[in-house]
Amino acid sequence: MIMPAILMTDVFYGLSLFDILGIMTKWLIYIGVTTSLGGFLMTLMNARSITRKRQIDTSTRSAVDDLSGYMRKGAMIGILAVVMNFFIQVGSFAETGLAGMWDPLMTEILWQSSVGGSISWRIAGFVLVLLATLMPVKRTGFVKKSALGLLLMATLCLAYSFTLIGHSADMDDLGKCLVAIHVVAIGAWIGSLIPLWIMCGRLEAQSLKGGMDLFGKQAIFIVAVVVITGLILLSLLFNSPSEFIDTGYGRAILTKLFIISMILAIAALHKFHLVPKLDGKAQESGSLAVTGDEANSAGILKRSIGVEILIAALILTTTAVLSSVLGPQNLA
Amino acid sequence: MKFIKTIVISATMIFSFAAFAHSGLVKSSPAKNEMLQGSPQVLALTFSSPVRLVKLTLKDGGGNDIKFGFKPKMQSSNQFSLDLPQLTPSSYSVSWMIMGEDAHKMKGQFNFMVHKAMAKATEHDHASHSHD
Ligand SMILES: [Cu+2]
Repeated sequence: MIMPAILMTDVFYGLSLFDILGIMTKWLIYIGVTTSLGGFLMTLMNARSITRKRQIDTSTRSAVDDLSGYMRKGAMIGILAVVMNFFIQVGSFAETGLAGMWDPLMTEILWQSSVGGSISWRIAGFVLVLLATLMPVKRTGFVKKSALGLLLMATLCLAYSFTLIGHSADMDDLGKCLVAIHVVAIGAWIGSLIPLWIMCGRLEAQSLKGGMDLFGKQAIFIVAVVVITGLILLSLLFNSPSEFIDTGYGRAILTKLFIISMILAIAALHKFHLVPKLDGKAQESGSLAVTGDEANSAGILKRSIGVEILIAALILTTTAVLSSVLGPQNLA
Repeated sequence: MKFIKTIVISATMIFSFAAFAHSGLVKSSPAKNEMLQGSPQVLALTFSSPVRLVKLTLKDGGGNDIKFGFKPKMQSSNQFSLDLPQLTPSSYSVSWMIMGEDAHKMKGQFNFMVHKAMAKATEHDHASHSHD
């Protein structure tokens, strides 16, 4: 934990208070978005398994409750962070200290700019998530469908908000589309980690294995989307490979790629090693003696997902930093 | 330990030149470090892409703010041109702050100098010229 601490102090060196606060609130916005999207993905996954079983057992019911709570917290963090981030940006432009956060002229300028638009879409997205979590998703049929519809609309609003500001704002429509897809895919994936982590402690090996397998199938597809859109975006943002070494932005991107390759390695370890092991133990079992082992492999998986969550948080940090204070050469 | 050290050093390399390197000032009139004979009529700025000019200040050598008709505009543009009042001989510094299309803040600063009496210099030129 020393390493990220040093890394952070180094990044923050030379940044203003508003830069740092801006990065922190942006990180919280990312948390809100990933929580909403990941919660949506897990809800869809639950909906699929519920339809298959044709009834809701108690563990699924509590999982659905957990997910609603998870998304609700995320959406509330998101709304708060969006509002704070706006006034921090106002303060940063006003340059008159903390009081500058309420500068009427800068507020107007920022609100009239793309910032205002992106905030509106983000708040709309988070409010839709809140509405969806207030609906009794436990039920099947119309109520569940409309909750899923609200979450789909929320996803579109949140994804669109990312095309209005940041470096994607300088790209053409293809680039903006890719950014939106990239955000949705990576958000859904990262946001699923905490629900999966909770699942590890709650479910017994057999249904845990079922859930993890189902998630693994989706994850392969999602990861492919993240990687492909990410690579195309990089090719759009960089003119030549030397920029990865020569520019601060390039080096920050390299760092991000390195961290992403770590999380991908762990995800692969889960899918191909830890999750199959859950099953092996479960099948061998039949006697109480193996229960300890079962719990153990679930425990290892849980701890490993925990590590994945920390790395995911680091990925969001890197993204918040490089999208705030560093810029691609290409747009210079 | 060595591994951690390597990471820390590379992290330092990565972020120490945190360049805010996009959408900057391409051209200005008066240009950066230009020596002018007499007061310029306008201050003109050209940026690499459409930006909102949020702040623009002009200070003389004594650090006094020179008032001129700058007001932040809501529309973005590549070029900005502002009428200047009569500037007395001094070294001036221009500070600008812009918001790019991506809503990022960028700022910069440059100096130019206004020298005394262009008229006198011309007279002198004329004089020396006629002597030849
Ligand atoms: Cu930027």
